[in-house]
Amino acid sequence: MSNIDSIIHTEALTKIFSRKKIAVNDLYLDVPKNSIYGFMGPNGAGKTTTIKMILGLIQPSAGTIQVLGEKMRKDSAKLRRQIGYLPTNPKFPEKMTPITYLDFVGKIFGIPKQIRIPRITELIRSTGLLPLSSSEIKKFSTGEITRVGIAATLINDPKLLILDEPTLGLDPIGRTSTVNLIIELGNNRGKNVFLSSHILGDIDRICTHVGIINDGKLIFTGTIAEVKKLIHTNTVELQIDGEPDSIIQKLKLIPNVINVDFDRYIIRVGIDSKENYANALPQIFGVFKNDPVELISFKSGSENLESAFLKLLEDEKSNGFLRAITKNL
Amino acid sequence: MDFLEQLQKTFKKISVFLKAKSQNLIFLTLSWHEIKLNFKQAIQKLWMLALFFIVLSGITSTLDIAITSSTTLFIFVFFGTMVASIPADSCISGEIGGLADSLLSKSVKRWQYVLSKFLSQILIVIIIYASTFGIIIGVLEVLNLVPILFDYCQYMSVLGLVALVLTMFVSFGVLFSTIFPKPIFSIITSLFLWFLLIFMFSVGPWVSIYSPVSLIDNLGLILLDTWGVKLWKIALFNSVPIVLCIISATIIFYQKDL
Ligand SMILES: Nc1ncnc2c1ncn2[C@@H]1O[C@H](COP(=O)(O)OP(=O)(O)OP(=O)(O)O)[C@@H](O)[C@H]1O
Ligand SMILES: [Mg+2]
Repeated sequence: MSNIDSIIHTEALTKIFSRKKIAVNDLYLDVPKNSIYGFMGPNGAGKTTTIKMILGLIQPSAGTIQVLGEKMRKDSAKLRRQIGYLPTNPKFPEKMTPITYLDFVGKIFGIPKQIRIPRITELIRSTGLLPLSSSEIKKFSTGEITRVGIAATLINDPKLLILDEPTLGLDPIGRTSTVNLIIELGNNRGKNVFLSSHILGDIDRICTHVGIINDGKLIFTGTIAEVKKLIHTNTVELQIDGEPDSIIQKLKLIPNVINVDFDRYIIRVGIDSKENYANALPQIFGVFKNDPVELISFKSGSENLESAFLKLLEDEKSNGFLRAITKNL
Repeated sequence: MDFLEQLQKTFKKISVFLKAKSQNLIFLTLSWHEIKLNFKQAIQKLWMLALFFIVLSGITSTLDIAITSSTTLFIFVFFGTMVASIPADSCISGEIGGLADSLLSKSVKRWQYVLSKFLSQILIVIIIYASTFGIIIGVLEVLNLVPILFDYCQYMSVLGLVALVLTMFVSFGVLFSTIFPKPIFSIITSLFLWFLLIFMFSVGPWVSIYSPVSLIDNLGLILLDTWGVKLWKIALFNSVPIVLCIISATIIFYQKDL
């Protein structure tokens, strides 16, 4: 029954909170070995609830969970020894510095002193906390807190890292360094990483596999390439300078173009299918040949994952997701 | 010399054994951490402790062990019970969503967490209580003011019973902190319970003998061993709730979603 190659494997996982709130609905997750798995979904989709169930912090209403080939229960302390968990907004005890906190966490894991001390030193150095190592965590910025949190998840040398929105509230620099740290951990240190986020850009940069959850239901799971193919929307965005009306008229006459939207200075052109995408492009550009309107830049729709993702979720909301899948695959 | 060496060897053996077992004793690490933290906070409120000891020294100036003890016990029974239960009221509910999640997502089992809370909260109160009486007895002994025929055995039983009462209140506080999501609810419940057990019981009919207040009222009789009530009954009356609190708090905490 158990899938040995899966790091995390859930079957029919369901959580119904009191007052009949279905937070997670019949979830079948399969996180393959040596992957960086991105668990993506909008606010309130059920990401945190799922993660807490995987960790045994929340009792599932139904379904089973296997982590690293073992069943996860509320008291699976031994199994959790192999997991590092970073909560969304990690909180720390009063009056603790990175050093005392890491030491405390190390003691909780029962790591002997002769291993604990060098490991703490190395973690503090590699997360760039050296100048802050003796100041109180309570006064740290979000980015610094995230780094302490990540250091704490690594103290027990876990096989599996579970990170709940690790890039939340970080500026571009902090985000990039966190992303690089996670990639380093996943690729070079051979850790399995399961992370949640609602930021598609981060998922795209970090992950090898994705699961998309909405309203408690898993609406897509696969590799990054597959998700990109799926949300390839066959649109072209043209940024123009000038009066758009004549251009729009001409674009509408091109055979494979099915719709043309105009929004401020961007024209969005929809093409009926992927096969005709390449054929339609020269004709679209041809429109500008004898026109005073200037083409400033253009963008292929597949680059714009963010809005495509939102569109996917919208489609799903109006129950059209199944149709959307069959149409695009 | 030989004896000392033996002692050292035994001590080493014990510490090695403890270290080997320390994985099972995570809750001791937790409790120790908790106690240290609470004492640090207590020391920051040193002025309160100082005030307490000044008041105490005013009382001890009567220099009679029975009077001094009964006044000090009075303070502990009426105010100690209330003050002790307040930090206990928030010790678990205040950590859910924070440190509790963080510990229980690591290699800490739920019973270890709950037990460490009980142990640390109770120990802090008992340490303060015991050191207070340690100081009182010490001062009076040094000044040679304890009567020769003073019955320490009876005296210690009364102290022990009041310690049990304090433990009971702390245990209720910890239990409430697992039941109620917000500390304020458990503080209100604790205050209600305090009112019930300290005031209502002392004026009730047959139950009044179980009230800690009756221990103070009858301190003289107890010291002379002429009080008609069996002390073990009072001990039982106070220890059963403690055990029940620990068991039910553990069971309730196991059901909790964090
Ligand atoms: N303890 C709880 N009791 C009742 N409902 C809850 C509880 N925890 C979460 N929920 C509900 O379950 C749903 C899923 O919440 P969850 O925190 O898992 O979302 P999320 O995907 O992590 O969102 P976000 O991106 O905002 O972190 C939400 O609608 C939330 O209101
Ligand atoms: Mg969340």
